[in-house]
Amino acid sequence: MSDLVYDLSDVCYAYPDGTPALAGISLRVSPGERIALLGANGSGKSTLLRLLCALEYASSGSVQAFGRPLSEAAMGVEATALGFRRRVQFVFQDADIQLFSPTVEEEVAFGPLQLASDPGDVRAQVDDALANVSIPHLRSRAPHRLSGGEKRKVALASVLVLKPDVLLLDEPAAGLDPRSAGALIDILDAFAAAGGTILLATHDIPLLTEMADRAIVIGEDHRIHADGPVVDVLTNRPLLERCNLVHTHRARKGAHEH
Amino acid sequence: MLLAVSLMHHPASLGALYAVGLLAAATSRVPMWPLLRREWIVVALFTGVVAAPAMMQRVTPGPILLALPHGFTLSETGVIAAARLVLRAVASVHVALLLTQTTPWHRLLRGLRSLGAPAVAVMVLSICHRYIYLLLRMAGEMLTGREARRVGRVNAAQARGQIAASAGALMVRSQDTATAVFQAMAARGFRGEPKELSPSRFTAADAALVVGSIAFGVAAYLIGGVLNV
Repeated sequence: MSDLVYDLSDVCYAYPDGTPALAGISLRVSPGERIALLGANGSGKSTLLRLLCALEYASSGSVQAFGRPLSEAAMGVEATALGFRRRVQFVFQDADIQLFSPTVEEEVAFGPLQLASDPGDVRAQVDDALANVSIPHLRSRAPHRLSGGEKRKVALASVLVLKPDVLLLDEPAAGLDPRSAGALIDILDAFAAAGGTILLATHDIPLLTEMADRAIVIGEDHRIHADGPVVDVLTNRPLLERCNLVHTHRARKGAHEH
Repeated sequence: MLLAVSLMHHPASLGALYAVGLLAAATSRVPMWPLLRREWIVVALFTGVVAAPAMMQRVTPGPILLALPHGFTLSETGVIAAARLVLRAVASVHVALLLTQTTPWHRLLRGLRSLGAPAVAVMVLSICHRYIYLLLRMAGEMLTGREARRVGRVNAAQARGQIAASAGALMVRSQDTATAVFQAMAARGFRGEPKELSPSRFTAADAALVVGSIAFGVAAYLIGGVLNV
């Protein structure tokens, strides 16, 4: 059996109306990697994450997770689906979408309960998860009444409680103030230090070096344009410009223009 | 209290029970003015429309209580019937609002579960309650966005067209939201059967409360019958 977490070969995905979202995507992910998917809006980063979480399925090509095909048919088998969900978790870009339970405690308990944990153990797991992201005081609060940073922490707690091997995050730092972004990076660092694999979609260049070691750049043609160490990708300005990740512009400062 | 309200039929006893409800609201520190406004608007809209004609001599014959201009007369029987209807409605709405305003939503849902409501139904109710505010926020933002770009007045036909367009856009967004929420649930292992952290059970204390409530309602009914109030 393969040691790879993911093995994608020539994956294409098109929306039901035929609009392409991903084209010819091939990549391999090893355990413990911290990977950033970079790309402009609409390049297909979020769609790729959904494919990796088996929320959507490739139109063509092959997707393997932990050495096994990740297909609709495979996920239709309950044991396979539960096993996969225990190992791979997804943090959505919009925390309001992810947090649907009436209280933080129930939100964090949702995953373990669905994945057949003993309800007696779930309370202890919830306690641990809330403590790990420093929000035990929010236990009885309604998630939708929290601040953006608190919601993001609850969303993280609700997936970390399952102790997954792989964490998929869609724009995890979007809309966060510097302190909340710092707290998020600390949580992701702790997850990676414990051997977890991270794939995150972002176009937040300034935080990139702190959140990932490897960067995969997806262009506006929905294909991979670069795959390598973050530092190499960030210093390749023509690549970043071509993929609409940076742009040249005039900036005025007082009387100066550059 | 709801049981007592439904068992009583004299306006005086209904009024007394409503007064007890108001006292309970005041001692629970529920803001009174918004509460009164909400319950009376609901009652005026839905019950007042039915009760007002019932006061007329022509609709409910009986001893004439008051003669109005243009030959209209109010009958005593009709006024009592209308008062009974309005007081029963306002007391019922008051009790329901008081319950929802003094009990956290998640505890209400747990209460429903302990009364035997199916887990799926309670979950759907919970998610509806959660996302209706998100949709309202979306609708508000759409309207604000439209207002910010509008110059001059729009006529009624244009306004109707804009409302229809907004409703359509909101429906599409609500479908997208529903899909995303389902995916968020599926990603954490949801396969159509919700499981709860600590399923609520109908305990001895709950049984005692139900028996007490029934006893209160029956007592109120009997006392009302004996005193004819």
